[in-house]
Amino acid sequence: MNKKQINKLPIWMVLFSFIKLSFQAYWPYFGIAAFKSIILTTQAFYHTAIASILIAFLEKKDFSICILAGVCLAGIDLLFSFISKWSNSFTKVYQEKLQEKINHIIFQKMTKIPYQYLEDTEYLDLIERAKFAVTNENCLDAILTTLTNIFQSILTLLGFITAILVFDTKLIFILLITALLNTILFGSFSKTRLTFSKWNLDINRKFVYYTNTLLDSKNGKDFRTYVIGSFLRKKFNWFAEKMVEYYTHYLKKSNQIKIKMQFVKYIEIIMVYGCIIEKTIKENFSISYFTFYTSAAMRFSATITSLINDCMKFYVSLRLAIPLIELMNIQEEIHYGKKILLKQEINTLKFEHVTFSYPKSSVAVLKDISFQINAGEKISIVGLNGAGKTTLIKLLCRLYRPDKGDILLNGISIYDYDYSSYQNSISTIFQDFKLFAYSLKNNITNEETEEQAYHFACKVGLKKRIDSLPNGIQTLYTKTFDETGIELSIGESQKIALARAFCKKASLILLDEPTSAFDPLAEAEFYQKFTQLGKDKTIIYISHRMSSSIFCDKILLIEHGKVIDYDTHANLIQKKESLYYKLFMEQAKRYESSDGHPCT
Amino acid sequence: MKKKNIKLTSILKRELKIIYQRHKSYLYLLILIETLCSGFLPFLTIWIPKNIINSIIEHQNYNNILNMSIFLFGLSLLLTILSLFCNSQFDGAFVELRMLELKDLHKKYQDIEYSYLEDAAFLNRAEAARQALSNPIGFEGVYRNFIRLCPCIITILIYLILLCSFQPWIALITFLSTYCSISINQMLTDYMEQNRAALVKAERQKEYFHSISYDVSYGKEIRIFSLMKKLKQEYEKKSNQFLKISHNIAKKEFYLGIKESSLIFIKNSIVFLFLIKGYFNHSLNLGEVSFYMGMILSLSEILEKITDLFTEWMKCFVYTDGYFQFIDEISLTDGYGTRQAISNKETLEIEFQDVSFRYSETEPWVLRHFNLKIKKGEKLAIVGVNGAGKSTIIKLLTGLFPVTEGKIFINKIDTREFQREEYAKMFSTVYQEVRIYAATILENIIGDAEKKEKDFAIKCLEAVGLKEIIEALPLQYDTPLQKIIEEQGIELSGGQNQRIAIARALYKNSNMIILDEPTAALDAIAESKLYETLNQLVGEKTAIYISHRLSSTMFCDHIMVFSKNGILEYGNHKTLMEKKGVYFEMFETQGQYYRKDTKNE
Repeated sequence: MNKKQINKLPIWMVLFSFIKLSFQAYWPYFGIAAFKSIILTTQAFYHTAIASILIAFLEKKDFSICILAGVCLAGIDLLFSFISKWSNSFTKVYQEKLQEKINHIIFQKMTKIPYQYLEDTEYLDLIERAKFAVTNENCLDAILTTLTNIFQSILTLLGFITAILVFDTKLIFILLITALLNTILFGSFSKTRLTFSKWNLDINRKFVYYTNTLLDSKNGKDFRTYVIGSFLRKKFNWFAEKMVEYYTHYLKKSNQIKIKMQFVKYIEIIMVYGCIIEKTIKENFSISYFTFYTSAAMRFSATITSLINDCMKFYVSLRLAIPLIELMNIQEEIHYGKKILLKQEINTLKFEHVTFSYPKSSVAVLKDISFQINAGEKISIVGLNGAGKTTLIKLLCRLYRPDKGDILLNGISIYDYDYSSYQNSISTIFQDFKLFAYSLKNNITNEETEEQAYHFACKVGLKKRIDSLPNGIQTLYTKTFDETGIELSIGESQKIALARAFCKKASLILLDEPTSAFDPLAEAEFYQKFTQLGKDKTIIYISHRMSSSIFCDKILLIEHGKVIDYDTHANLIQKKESLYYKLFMEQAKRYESSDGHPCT
Repeated sequence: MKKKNIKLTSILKRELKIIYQRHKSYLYLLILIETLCSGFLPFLTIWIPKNIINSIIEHQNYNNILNMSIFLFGLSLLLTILSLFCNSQFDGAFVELRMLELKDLHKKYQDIEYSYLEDAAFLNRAEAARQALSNPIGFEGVYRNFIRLCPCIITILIYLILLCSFQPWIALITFLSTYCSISINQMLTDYMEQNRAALVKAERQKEYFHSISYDVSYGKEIRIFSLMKKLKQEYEKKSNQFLKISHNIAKKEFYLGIKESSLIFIKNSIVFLFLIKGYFNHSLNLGEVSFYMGMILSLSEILEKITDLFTEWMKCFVYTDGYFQFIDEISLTDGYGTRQAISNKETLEIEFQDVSFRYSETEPWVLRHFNLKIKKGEKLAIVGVNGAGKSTIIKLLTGLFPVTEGKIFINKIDTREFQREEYAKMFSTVYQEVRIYAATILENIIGDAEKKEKDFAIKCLEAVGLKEIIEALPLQYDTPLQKIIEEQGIELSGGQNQRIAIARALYKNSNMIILDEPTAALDAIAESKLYETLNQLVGEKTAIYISHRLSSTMFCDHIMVFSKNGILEYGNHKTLMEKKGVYFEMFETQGQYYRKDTKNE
């Protein structure tokens, strides 16, 4: 675990940020929680006092008043019970609502932080730890619950201190001293507890990985073919044993402290009783006073214990929430575009001496790249794995900024355009595209109509498939939401992503390996429709299938981050020493023409 | 409702039996001790003040009273310490029991027939089983709540007995109201059971969006297609659906709670009246009044505790029920044979004899009267459009799915005669979806094998072109992959991962090798190189290649063109091209773009 990360934020700041976040999400919760605490505190008082009140009436020896008192006492207890059940129920509902709203805020935040964090290993770790804390460890629930409990305990303690102070200062003295003693005892243990909690969290994450991996059906084929499955099981078993070992050891230590605390508690009880009995006998107090103060002292002591426990849980949960708070503190991306709305189509797109290396890397992925694309051109970018092709696309999408140089659209830097109008003008399909579990129609488009979505779905060759579905294009993607959803193959999913790319009313389309999962006929079909689909649009096409270079106007050849060449296929194929020639021929040489002549 | 009760008791019985089966019988004794100690303690807590009050009223000596108190409280302390000790033993033991169940689940899960893993309903049950074992609410929770419940029952019994001796009517009323509380609890759990499916579904749907928050792979699309608003809308919709159901359950809980409180009010009023009457006709003194009042209040507290406990316990039972059903389901062995694998020095001859297959009776046939013979050492390419069934043939051959009709023969032996694990030994398959695991590079290839086999693994990695890259890393072959287990772990690129998967298959060195789209992520030159080395390494073994890139399959001995209607064409590249059928069309279609410029020149 990255130690420097954990200690970055002081705990009070985490608490403050958390409260601020919760308030922003759903402040009524705090009102209800406070109300519940007050009610429960009052109810606790009442329960402490009820016996002594009745006894007081009994000591007055008036039968009818006692009967009345008895019924009233039971009635007030009923009333308290109603109110406390109601406030408990309400608090629970509000707490769930608050948690959901916090999750919505987290969601929104994650969609707005600068993209570079999503590819930064340090932040990926942070995101993963935040996710674990919220999803697996339920830290939001723990923090809110313990916070409310602490507030309630403090109110109770204040109330009882006041009541007991009136009775006897010596008693308060005893209670407070033992409270201090217990706190010290617990404090000495807290370090062990924190170390354990840190270790536990770490182990849990790994644990969850192994369990999820071993039970993931997608790994099923590999596990039945190779030994990796039994290897991972061995690893899991080892972790499981370690965990039980360490946990048992921790429990032993924890138990020792608990026993010590019990000793202190019982000595306290004896001293308290001694003090109260003495006072009752000496000053001839009534039994009702005796009953009340003994109950109060016991309650006081119990509240201290639960307060200490809750504080510990609270602290541990807050620490769990540190990655989440750090995540929420990430500055959202501010786009300083001069708000020039992109009303005109793309005339020219120019890379001007663009140099770029990924944050935290010293290796330049793109070195002094310069080239220009004109309106309506289809450009193919070709190069070996790792040459920088996908990086170019990411820069065009404004996911990253060049270190040097600039990208100009119609003569103006793309960063000077209003962010959302710019995004509306581009459309992409990535190699690692993702679709969502809602309807196919919504996956293709949110703004356009169903007819439009269907039109493009047919254009990419999905007509038959969609017509065969009972709900047609409204069918849900995957069965995540409902049994009626459909599991499409990788190739079919890729077609949906392609439809999405072309359905968007964009003037610049970026395609990164758009047909990698297509069979030859589907791929050819796409190539045929390509001209029609790409009419009036400027397109950048990346593919390992050199065949796609043919229908592009020009090819940009990139090697080790530099532009080696930028020309038509006809011209490039003449340069028999170039990388392009090698790549093209590597694939072409196998496709002898039908009359047996090799194609050179 | 009766049926459910029977189920609960059977689950509880089964879990208690597991304690014995896992050699932890000492826990039984501890459970007894804990039950008695914790059961007795609340009683002591109200009994001691009674004695003190009576002593004060009788004007006893202060020192006597104090000594008595010390003795009684000392007894309480002893019981508390015993209870603490038992609980710490339980804590550790229950976690261990859960781990042992998980170990079993993992093993059985890997032993079951693969066909289950493509059944969505089965996977849901598996997920439920996993949940039951992955958190304290579930298998472990059944134990824990049982431990918390037993003392409560003892305490209630003690109270009832004492009340009986004082005033049987009160005992009766108390007993009745306790029974009513339990029935009310039952009503609540029934209500929750009815709504559980809806709640679980709503929860899963909102969790889908929640998990997208932390899934960075959605990041690009969300920004470029401006999906923030739409996704947030959908998320909020699903959240609200979930909250609504949850709210309804809370409301029901509240209403039932009110009914329960009303019963308690009636009970309390009657008891108070009895106590007051008893005091005034001198059958009770103040000490006893406080004692019985304390008892009533304590009883109410215990009943509330039981209510909370029961709700949680119900959840645990539901989860655990899912788990037990699941583990029983997958423990069934199937009708597989006992034959050992063929020695890997010998390669395989495959024959599909009139094989038909469909995933289930309600699904359409994927293969119908399929016949195919693959000779020893033959290289077969399978090509065809997406979704035709190419992968299905492989799944049947490698034993992942059983044939619905017909037979498959390996070296003239019926595949069903082989023992399942032995059968799997004979195939090295690289699947379309590459899976890399959080272990070192070497471990990903060889698992847990001994050091001496390391050399062969390195040779395989060299064959797929990864040697230089790996040896440039600080930890070389012991470099951990992925960051989840080891912080120093690295992530390789898609192409590199694909090559590791191929090296894994080569290392296994089984009788036959099958490759499904092994070069999708590689560029033209890397792809070429790989196929060259593959041909060398595969050597005389029988091999099947599935690929869309016909340029890579044309060197095979035979090519099978496969569609939804079965085998369309079968032959080698030359004969199929001469035929000018489907293969010819596919080849020309793919190749035309490479040849276009020749014509233009």
